[in-house]
Amino acid sequence: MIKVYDLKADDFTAAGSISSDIKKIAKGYGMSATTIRRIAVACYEAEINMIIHSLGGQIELSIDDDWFNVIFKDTGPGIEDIELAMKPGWSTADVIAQNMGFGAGLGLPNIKKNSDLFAINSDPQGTVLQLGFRRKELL
Amino acid sequence: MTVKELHQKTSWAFVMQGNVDLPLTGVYSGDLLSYVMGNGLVGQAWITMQTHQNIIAIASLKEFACIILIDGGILDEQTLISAAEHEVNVLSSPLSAFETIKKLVHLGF
Repeated sequence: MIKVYDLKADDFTAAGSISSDIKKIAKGYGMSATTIRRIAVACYEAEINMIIHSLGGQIELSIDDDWFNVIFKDTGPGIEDIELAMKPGWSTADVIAQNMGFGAGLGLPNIKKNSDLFAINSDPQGTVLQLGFRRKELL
Repeated sequence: MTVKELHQKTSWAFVMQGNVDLPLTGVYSGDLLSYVMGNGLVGQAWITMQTHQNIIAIASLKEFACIILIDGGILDEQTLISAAEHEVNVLSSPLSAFETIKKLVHLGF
């Protein structure tokens, strides 16, 4: 199964709608409640990151026998220093986002903590964040 | 205690009612949304001063039992519509965050 969502930059009113849809799909696939919650947190943070920081892009969901994959691809402007961006508390969110309670600098750490597979690549043309969640939890 | 019982015991007004029979598992207080996303737990009442539309998505994704707005917080029309769509319970406490939490502690949380 593959589904692609378009995401607009700075559209705070729609924030969370794609994550909500992805969460519903995960529920439909009968994944565990814990995994569904991890998917919801990681996808929401990644969706918000794209809204705040990117010029817009696409979110691609694909599901195979073992993995629930979500790829977040934007069209720039890229993350200058990924290592720094991964550091809890570090943020480049503007004052508008901060006033709404975003920009705590915990987005990427939260995403990493909640995903089973986490890969990020970035250059000025765009950032690709690849997340994977095991459909069955390892015993 | 359910959301409905919390409302009855505190008289905090319902800004939006979803499933008011949801049981409360605890309380989380915070206004920085990534802390809430990272640390809040399913079934909790979430105390916040934020009133914009994004709190509804968070409460729904995190499966909080309810949001408690402080200082008599209200929601704008768009946020109310979103709360109704997601069936998120929202209460408004006239008290500060500290006094709201004190009240919840007195109720046994």
